[in-house]
Amino acid sequence: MFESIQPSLSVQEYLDLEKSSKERHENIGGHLYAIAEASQRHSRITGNIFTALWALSNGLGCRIFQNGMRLRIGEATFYYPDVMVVCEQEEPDPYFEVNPCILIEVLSPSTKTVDLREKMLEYKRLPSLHTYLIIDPESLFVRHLWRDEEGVWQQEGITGSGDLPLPYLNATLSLSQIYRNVFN
Amino acid sequence: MVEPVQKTMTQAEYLTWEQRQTERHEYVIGFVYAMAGGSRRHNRIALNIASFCLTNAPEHCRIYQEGMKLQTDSAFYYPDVMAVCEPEPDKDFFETSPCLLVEVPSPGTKDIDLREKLLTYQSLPSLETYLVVDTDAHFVRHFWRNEKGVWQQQDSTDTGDISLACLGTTLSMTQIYQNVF
Repeated sequence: MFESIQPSLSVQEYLDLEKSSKERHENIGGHLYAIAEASQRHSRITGNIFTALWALSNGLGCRIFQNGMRLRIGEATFYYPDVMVVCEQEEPDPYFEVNPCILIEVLSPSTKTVDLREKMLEYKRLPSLHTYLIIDPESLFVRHLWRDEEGVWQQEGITGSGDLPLPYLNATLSLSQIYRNVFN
Repeated sequence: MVEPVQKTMTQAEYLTWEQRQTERHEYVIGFVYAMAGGSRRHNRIALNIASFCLTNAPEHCRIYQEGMKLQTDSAFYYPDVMAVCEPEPDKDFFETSPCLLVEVPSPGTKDIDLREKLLTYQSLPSLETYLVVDTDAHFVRHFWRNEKGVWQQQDSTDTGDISLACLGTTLSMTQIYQNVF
């Protein structure tokens, strides 16, 4: 059931490998997990969100990434969030970010459990994170998690239509923007 | 895929709700997840490890197999085997400070055991050893905290001994897989 025994990689070995690898890998404590190809809907949703937030983010001096940038959590955990917004000015490293304020994951059959459980637990540890959105590509449904004024995490599910506040960007993101041209 | 039951609950609501259920559920940030039944091999391995611990652990340690919840900062889990040597917590229905945790993955839980639970368990200050035990081959992935508090890992196959520091004893691969294959 387990993959054959491989020595776990150091952070530097992992970063070097990712630069030359054809596929991307997440890294959990030195063990790598390949990222599966995304579906049409998945790609359209991440594209819609990236497009909606790109000008806003850049206007505020924030960096926005779609799929391609690593997020490092703690010592040896690396993810590729579907969409990531970072408003900290300082770049920690050319190859990863550490202080996002917004993270967005679009579910797929192979990542659903990780997105809903593991990433929710790990992302919550980031002191910089304010908003985590989990988007369902099968129906108009977004799970919205945010840190309230007292620093306590809140969550709600939004079905059909509605606006998601993104206070870091002084903006809202609507379900119609997220799902534009996805179900036709 | 692990499907959450739809409604979200607070930790207090989950604890009250779960006492009335006929099956066990884990809880991760508001969602509850029903636990699947284990295979015969899964149960034999977990029982082998739990009974070894029960026989060899210091008297003040509490050993559980599958029936006791562990509370972390945002979740409640049912570890396959758990050893706790700290004083009893105030609450009756969960433990918070294990020194040894063991998971025996089934096909639906492998990623959870090797990723999510690894990360969450390693954040518990009390934990010294985490074992993930394969049911298809003699294979144990062994994580432990060294003297400097840094997590180490090693894979064991076929034979060998695994130190269970907090119980002051050593568990062999033969004992883990006794009568399993």
